[in-house]
Amino acid sequence: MSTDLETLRDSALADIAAAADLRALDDRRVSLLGKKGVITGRLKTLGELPADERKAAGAAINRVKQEIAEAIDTRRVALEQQAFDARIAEETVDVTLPGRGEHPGAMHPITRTRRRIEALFAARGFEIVTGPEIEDDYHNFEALNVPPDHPARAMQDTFYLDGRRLLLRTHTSPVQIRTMESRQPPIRVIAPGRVYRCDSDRTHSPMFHQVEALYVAERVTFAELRADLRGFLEAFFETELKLRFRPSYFPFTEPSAEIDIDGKSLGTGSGWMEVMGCGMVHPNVLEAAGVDSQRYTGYALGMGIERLAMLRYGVTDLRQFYNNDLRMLAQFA
Amino acid sequence: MKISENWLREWVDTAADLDTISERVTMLGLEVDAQESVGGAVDGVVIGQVLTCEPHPDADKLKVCSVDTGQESPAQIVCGAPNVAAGVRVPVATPGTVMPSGMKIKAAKLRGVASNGMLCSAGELGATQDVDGLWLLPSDAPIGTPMADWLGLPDQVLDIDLTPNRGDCLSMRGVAREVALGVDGVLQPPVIDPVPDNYEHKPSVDNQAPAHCAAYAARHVEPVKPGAATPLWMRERLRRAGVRAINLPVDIGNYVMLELGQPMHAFDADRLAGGIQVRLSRVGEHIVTLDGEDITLDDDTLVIADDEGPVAIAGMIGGQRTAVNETTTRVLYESACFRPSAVAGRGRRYKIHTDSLHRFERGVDPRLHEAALQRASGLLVRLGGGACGPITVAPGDPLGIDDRRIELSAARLSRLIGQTIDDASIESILTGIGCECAAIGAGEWQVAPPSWRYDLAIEADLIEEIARVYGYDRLEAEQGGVALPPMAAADAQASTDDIAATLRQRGYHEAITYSFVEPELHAALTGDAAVGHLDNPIAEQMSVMRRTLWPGLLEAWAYNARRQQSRVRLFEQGLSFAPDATAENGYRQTPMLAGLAAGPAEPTHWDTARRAVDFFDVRGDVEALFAARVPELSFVAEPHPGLHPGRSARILLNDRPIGWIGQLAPAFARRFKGLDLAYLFEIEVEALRDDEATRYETPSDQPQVRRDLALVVAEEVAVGRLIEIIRNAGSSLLQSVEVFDVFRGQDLDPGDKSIALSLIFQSDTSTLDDEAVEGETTAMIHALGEQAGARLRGM
Repeated sequence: MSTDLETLRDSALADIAAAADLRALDDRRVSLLGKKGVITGRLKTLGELPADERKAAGAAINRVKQEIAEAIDTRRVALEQQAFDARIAEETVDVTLPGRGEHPGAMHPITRTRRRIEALFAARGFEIVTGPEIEDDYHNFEALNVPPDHPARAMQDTFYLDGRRLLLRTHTSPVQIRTMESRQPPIRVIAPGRVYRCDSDRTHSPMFHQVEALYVAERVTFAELRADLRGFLEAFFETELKLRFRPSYFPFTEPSAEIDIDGKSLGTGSGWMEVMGCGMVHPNVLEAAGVDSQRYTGYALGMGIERLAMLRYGVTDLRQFYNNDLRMLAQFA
Repeated sequence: MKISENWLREWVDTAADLDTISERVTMLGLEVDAQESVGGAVDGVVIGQVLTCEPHPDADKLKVCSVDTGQESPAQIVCGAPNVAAGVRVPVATPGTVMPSGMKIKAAKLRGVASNGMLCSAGELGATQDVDGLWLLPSDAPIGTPMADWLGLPDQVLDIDLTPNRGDCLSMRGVAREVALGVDGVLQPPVIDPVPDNYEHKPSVDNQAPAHCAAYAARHVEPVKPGAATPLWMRERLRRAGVRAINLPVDIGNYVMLELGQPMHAFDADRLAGGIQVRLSRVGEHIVTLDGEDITLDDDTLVIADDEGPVAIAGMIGGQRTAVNETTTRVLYESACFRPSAVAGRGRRYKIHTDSLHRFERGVDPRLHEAALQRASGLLVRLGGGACGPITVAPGDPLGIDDRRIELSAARLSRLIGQTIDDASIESILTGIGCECAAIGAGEWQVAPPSWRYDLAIEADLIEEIARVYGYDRLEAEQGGVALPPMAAADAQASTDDIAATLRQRGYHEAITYSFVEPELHAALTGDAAVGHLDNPIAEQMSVMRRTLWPGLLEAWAYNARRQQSRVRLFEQGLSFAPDATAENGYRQTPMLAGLAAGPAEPTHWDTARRAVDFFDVRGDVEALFAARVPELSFVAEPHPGLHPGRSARILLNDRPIGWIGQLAPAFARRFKGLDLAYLFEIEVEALRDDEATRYETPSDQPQVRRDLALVVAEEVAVGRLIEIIRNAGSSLLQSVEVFDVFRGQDLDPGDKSIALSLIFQSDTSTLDDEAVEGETTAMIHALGEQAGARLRGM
């Protein structure tokens, strides 16, 4: 190889190694190997050589061309990698920074509990109905077999309105009456909603929530009520429960019972806890609402949503439900 | 009802322990709420007598006493009680005694003087809540005897929560019957021997109200030793039942009431003017009761009267004028049967509640009054001396209690409770609770309930009795019943909870606030709109029924803001209550959904500029609730008493008003001091339900054409108005109008604003040419100019 070619090769390889980026490398490629490139130019001058030298000179130039082409490829790969690494470095984010956008709000624990109760009853074919909260004495008491001056009225401290003309319903039971007044059996409904009693302390709120269930048809029995309630409560609490069906009294049911859960079976401590009242709809109530009590029987039950929510979520103070403290609500999101 | 175990065991012979008794009666429907030890029994406390009582040399309030506790020599005890004196008999805690408070009594020096024990108050021994002063014992209390022995302790009290139907259990007799039934014990009531009458003085009783008073029995006892003391055993039984001792004749009356269930009244016969009259009160009559209350009576209250006027409100409370006191020597006992309807409701009317009224309201056994009178007069003769006169019974109309005959069928019983109970068991249960059963066919009876069970009137009442005695927990379901088709809400009727999910996703937490609110805030928010007022609110700030859900949300916002929660998003669902003569009961009760947004528009974020929530954030939240129906919504600027005059709008759905949106009016700044005023909205829930199931429309395959209009209009022209004009002027080719810019200033005249709108046109059938679109926009621009004074920007 002539010294000249050697110099050319060395300076070309140095140039290639010095190319800082892909564009600079491409410029080198064009200036060396392009149509007007130095190497191409050398090959074109081969014809000027004597014939016996041509072959050797041509081979030498082609070796250098080959060498340069390989150097360019190697450099390209290196530069491409470098560029890719740079881009990745630039695009890298701190994944520990918080995400953007709205944090979803919570369903109130009372609503959440109510929805759960509704879903369990809906699966058994109960329809959800509602009724007014400002009620008349007839629907809240009289039609439910609680005449004026009945001692049972003292069981429920009533809020009155407009000079005792109206009242705030003390239970969801008036919806039973309204439902039976407007349709004939078979009836299978639940009535969730707000109820009011004139009482306020750690364990009593002047406003709270109940769910009433009513099932009236031919041959609805007390034993069936008992089985349905066990099914409901065990599904609600997702555990096998020790229950007792304790005789009690409500003017609108007979026989009447209260359901107690053994705290041990619920994991909330010992002792019986009252969770709901229930019974067979009193014949006077059926008749008052226009249902033939000779033909139909029915069961009714009423439960406090707060009570179930407290047991299920471990809320200890009833008043917490109405503070609407975001720090409390957010726990249910 | 408080029941002493020791007393109960005199009535019922049973080997069952108290826990078993509690459990059994609870499962019979007499719920035992609590089972408590009777206080006053403390090991180491004996009865002592203070022999001498000298001042302490170094303490003004202390006394140094020498106390006889039955030991060889008296004990020296330092005492600070104000009522300590030589001669009194008191409980003495000897050294080593552990008091109910946990304090251990030790021999010690008090201000340098040795004290070997402590003289006790009733409170310190757990006998009463009253802690003032020493417990002064009767002068015959045996010195040196342990207090527990003397009081008949230990004893337990069952606190039974009775349901209103079981008035028959408001006595030892009634509870004992149920206990005997529950534990298979033997009922052994005390034998009440009639007390012969020893003299002629027969009370004169004129029952002028036979419809209200089924019987009035009365008897004199005289001469009674004035101020005779009630014996300890009776005082203790009264105390354990929660009844205060007063004087012997009254205590005996209360004792008989607790024992048998018959309320009694004792009159001082010397203070009665003439005979007893049972009658209705007359207008203007009044009575000063035993409690010292002067009560003016209505004209339909049953009273007991003498010649000078009422001496008692029948079955409720006696009068002061004829009350028995420590000078009384002649007692007239009343034992009556008042009809429940004669006393019902009177307690509430006169704001008086007594043990007697509580029993008469629920019904007192009509066969009891003579036996109770024998019992009370016998006890008084025994404990207070004297002799009895003849008994007068003035009958009224029978209650009809004895005429009850209820038909019971075993088939109907099994149909209701879902289980077959054999005929023999049915009969035995009914007989066990005191019914008389006459078989009238196979599995059919005619049943006469006992006189004390007012609550048994129809077949269902008997079925309940049989079920509870048989045992509710023995009833097993035979699955049957009626299959009902599954119920699903209409396809279009999404549950409001699901609609609310949209708000939750947009950061709103669900609140539940009271339906009754503070009148002032409510009035300011509604412009003094009419509301329903509670007659008996818990507090003034919870006294009006809300027409809007905003007051509760505002209070919840303030509550959270005070707890450093600057960003608050809350919503609530509930009824609004608006007086409305056309609605049932005069109130329109409308389900509403309301929301509140305050603080930063977005949660704090390192890459987002902090910006306060504004009208359009909240409007966006409202629009999101309507999803695909947003085009049917419109917002019209309109003043609202609770909202900022320039930031308030009525919300319309297909031109029907359905709610409001806006910022809280600046007038509320003082109430919510230091807070940036929140944005509020409220919508009728009914409007959120889409009643029509979706009808699918095939989207057009033709290309869309977009045209932008940059309009200049006067500031007061609402953008909504421009869009309305465009829609009216355009054809069905116009698919949508979007606002993509609003700006002021630059080359615009002051008072003008520029609105940039983008219009999308599309045909269902063909590709639109420029000409067709041009025709549309020309008509629109013309209409905009005509109707709103709008012109194209740069023209």
